[in-house]
Amino acid sequence: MEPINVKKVLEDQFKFSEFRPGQENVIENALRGVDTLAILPTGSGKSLCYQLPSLILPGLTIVVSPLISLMIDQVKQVKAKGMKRVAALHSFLSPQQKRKISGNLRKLDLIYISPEMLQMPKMKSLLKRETISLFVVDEAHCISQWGHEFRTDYLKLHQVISDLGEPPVLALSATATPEVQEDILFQLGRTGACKLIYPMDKPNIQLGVAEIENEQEKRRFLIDFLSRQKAPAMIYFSSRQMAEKVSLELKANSLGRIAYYHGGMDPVDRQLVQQQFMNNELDIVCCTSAFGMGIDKSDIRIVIHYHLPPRIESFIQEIGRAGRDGGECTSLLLYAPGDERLPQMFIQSELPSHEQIDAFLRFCYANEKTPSYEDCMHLELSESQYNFLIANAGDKDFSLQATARETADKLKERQLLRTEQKQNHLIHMMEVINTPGCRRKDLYRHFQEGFQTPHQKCCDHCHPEIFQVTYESVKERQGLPLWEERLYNIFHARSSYGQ
Amino acid sequence: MFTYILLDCLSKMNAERTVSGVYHLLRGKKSSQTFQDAKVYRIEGYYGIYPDLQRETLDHALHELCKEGKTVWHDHGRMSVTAYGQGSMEETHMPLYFSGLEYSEAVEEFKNRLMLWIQIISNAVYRHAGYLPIVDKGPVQTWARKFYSERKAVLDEEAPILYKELRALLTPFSDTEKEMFVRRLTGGDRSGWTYSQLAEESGEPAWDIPLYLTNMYYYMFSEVSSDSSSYLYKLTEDLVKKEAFTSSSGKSIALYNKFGSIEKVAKIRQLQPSTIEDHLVEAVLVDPARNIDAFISREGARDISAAVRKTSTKRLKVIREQLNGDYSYFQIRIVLAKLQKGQG
Ligand SMILES: Nc1ncnc2c1ncn2[C@@H]1O[C@H](COP(=O)(O)OP(=O)(O)OP(=O)(O)O)[C@@H](O)[C@H]1O
Ligand SMILES: [Mg+2]
Ligand SMILES: [Zn+2]
Ligand SMILES: [Zn+2]
Repeated sequence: MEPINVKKVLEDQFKFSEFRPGQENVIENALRGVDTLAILPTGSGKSLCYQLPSLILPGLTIVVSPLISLMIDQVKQVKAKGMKRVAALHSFLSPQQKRKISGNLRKLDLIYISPEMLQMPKMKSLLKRETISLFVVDEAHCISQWGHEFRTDYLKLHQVISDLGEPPVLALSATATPEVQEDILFQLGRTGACKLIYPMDKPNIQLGVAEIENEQEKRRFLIDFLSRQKAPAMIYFSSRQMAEKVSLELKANSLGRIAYYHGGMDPVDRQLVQQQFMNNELDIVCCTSAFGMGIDKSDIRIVIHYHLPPRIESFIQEIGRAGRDGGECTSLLLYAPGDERLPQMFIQSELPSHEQIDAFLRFCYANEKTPSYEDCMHLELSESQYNFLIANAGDKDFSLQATARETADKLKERQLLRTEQKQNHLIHMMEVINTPGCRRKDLYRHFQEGFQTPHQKCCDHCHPEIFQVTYESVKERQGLPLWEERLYNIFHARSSYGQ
Repeated sequence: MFTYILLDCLSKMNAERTVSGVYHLLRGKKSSQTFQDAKVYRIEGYYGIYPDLQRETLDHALHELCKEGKTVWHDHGRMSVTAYGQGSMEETHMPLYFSGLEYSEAVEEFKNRLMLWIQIISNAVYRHAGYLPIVDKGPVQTWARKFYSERKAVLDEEAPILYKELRALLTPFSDTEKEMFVRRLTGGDRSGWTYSQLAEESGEPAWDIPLYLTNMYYYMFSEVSSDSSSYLYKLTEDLVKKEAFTSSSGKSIALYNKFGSIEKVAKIRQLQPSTIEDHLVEAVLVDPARNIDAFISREGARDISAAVRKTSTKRLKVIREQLNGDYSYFQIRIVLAKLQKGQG
């Protein structure tokens, strides 16, 4: 075969002059049809690792992605780069739209599909008629129960891949411990895959943990810190109410253009906030973890955690939103004594209690089938509790009454194990807080040996002055369109706009 | 936007109505025919969204469309959309928020109230007394006087609230639209702009300007009228969805329900029987479940439906010919009205 000049495609199609570390090797594997697990840091350009090959490979490249909004954004971005033979198939489309796309598969290079769409027999049979050159599993840690974003839908991917005739698989993630990496390959039935693991630390981020007496002081610290910043920033909260409340407080302190974002909001509003942030119409977004995956804004300088993340992977994923342009950025975690109680409570609410396990199984055996989430509404399970039950007992034959006892014991054992694991994750997170040494070392040591030399300062233990950092990337408000100033002036007598 | 809407109407009407039908629709003519066209062809959103539309403007726009090859003329003042015209619609499509048949009156009122209220509140902030209200319609001024007297003490506090709300309400629109909207407003610090000034500034065709603005007001109306926590909700509270049918039709239908005879209702109301028939067709359009057995046999209704399918038109003359003139226009219309839900 003629050697393909991938560098040229990179320049012509993507307008990048160089590959980032790892990209070239992953692309080479994809082009050669080698099953691959690639771990590259957040924001390092994993999407390119399948977008580029899809242009070269003869058949269709399928990408499975956990979030619909993520797929839609990516298709938009890719189309903006001039790739036209791209589409996304998901449940938000109208039946006509779905039909139009699925009827034109042969005209596509790249298709994003949500995992539940892939389950549909009709979809499968349509895809079977196509030559699949590459099957990509993005955010592959979602397939592992040990990972931090486990999705039951992902478990069925192995079956789908084999139904589609075992095309080459490319699994991508930024946040997978060695344990999760093994599990990903196991769940995909690809234990022999080539592993391309790159250091996942970001040398351009400075890590600060501010230990603060109490809530009120946290607020004061936050306001003080942000008043010195003029740069895009994100603040993570574990509760929706707090995200809203603090955003109002920051606004009241005139700290810039601020909005909140969480999963309880109207989808249109969420979209608007995201857009405004992307378009630099907002400086600060107060959000929950619902805002994160897929946010690819290049110039975020600051990511603050107001609450303690439940585990290191979530933390790494979230600080991965910062400095995607490669420039200096800062992560700041605000910790007050006792903050670990909140994630403790979450752990309990994420897993079913022993009573809930018994009630669930009684229901299953009485109906002799695996119930849907809607079926067992009356059990008042949270979605994650339900997911746990299905993942661990969903494939049982509930008509065999004799197995009931055994199933219950097994589930309870699992539940204890999972609780313990989650506790451990929290403990690891606390180690980063409590360490007297370098935080960087503690943050990454469960993933890899050592880390790259930081571009600027390392962490607050190595460089206590990092709390004094200031960013000035947002320009004064001259750049705003005229209408804004004009509207302001209608309602405010002294021309004080922008002051 | 105007030509997009024209193309949309023309293509849905499928050259079965004259272009005057579009004119009456956009201006919101209160006639049974216009009302029925809106429903049957599913263009009810556009009803009454352009009350100031001049016939010359429409003719000019249609002439342009024809010249560009997007439409072609048929006999008797009917026009249809070419494939090229269809294609051009897809390109120029933008979010439209119109729901004219139900809300054209409410939104018109809301628009006037808002413009006037912004002027009042802004002049209060600027401590200006004695200015000319930009809206001179009696009912709007009456409303404003009452609203003002209830809150004259708190206008300074309310101004920034209204500002923020408007600012948020403008978010979904392009900068051009925001610019248009804001420049149109009159405040204590300057006067609003005319449509032609706006057209000049934005580079958009003059006939589009009122539609851009109206589209924004529909959006705002639907946002604030459904959110009782918003400031502007108070401007919409008493504005209601239009009655399902015109009040004249309502009377005829009530009388018909009572007496069961078109002739009798016509006599009581001193109207032509054909007018009463119009009203009854309207009743079926609004409520397709309404029984029509009194006007046509089941078999007759089946024949007419079959003819409609066969000719795939809604033109009465063609349908009637297909049926060898066996049924009256009224009978065909009432069956068409009943069929509306299953079509399109
Ligand atoms: N070779 C390159 N040179 C410059 N920029 C690049 C290159 N490759 C990708 N990028 C840019 O880097 C940004 C991040 O890319 P991408 O969203 O694919 O990251 P990711 O690894 O998937 O991150 P995450 O883990 O958050 O999903 C994008 O804006 C992309 O355009
Ligand atoms: Mg990604
Ligand atoms: Zn540890
Ligand atoms: Zn350090």
